[in-house]
Amino acid sequence: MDSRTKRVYQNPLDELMRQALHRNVPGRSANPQARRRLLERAAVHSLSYWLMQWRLPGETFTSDHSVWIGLSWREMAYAQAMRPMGLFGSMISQLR
Amino acid sequence: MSIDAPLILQLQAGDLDALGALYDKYRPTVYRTALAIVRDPDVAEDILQEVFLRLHTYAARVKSELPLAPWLYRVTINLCYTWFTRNKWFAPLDEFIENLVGPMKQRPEPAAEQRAAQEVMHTAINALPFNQRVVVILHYLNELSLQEIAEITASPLGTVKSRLFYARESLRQQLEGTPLAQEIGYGFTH
Repeated sequence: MDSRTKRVYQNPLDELMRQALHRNVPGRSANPQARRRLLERAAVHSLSYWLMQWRLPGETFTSDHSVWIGLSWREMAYAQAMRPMGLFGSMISQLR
Repeated sequence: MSIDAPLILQLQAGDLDALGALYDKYRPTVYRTALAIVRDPDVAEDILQEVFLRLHTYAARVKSELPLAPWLYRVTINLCYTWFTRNKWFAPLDEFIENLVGPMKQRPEPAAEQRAAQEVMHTAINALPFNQRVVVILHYLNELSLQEIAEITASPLGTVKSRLFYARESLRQQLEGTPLAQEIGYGFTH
């Protein structure tokens, strides 16, 4: 959608509106960390769904996600055990 | 199949690299649209994050055979609307009038005059009601057709045309009494 050729209007009002918006609205965000933050948040989001075992189509948690969050294999193993179907999680539900 | 179908399918399989690739591709458009509507770079940045976070969360609901851009536009506008309803903000009238009249008082040089005219017009666009502003931004900044805007906003084509008509009339009226009014005239191209 960015590949369109720039339109030029015959009507001065239309052309002024186009110029005013193109000139006054910068196209680039100033935050260089935004991309990394997005992927980290997406990974955390997937982790929370995976931990709670909520079923949302398409929500998966992979080792790729854990890399983004910076989880070690120990933490992953602990998280796995604490899931409702994990070792401790299932024991807790039995006690309840 | 849309051009983004492979990336959408990868995203549906949980691939974060696909999310990053889609972010790289559509970030300027989403950010610019959000910034034009909310006028606050920090809020636009938050909306940008939220749009792609929702793309990640609801990836399974996104139809890979359709273009992704309208979906992103729709979510962006909905988030902007939500932000507006929670943070109703109106430019103080004095500031608006000063922006409108100030550049005209100074009688700038022709090159600067054109720039001042754009500033005045931008301020006037910012003062439009939300629905009219969205149509103006999608049409003149993102260069979408009225039919595309109707699909994105889930509004009848006639409603979109009407919003654009009233926005232009409003802008023309706001610029009356300034040197711009003579340049603008009363032509209508749509």
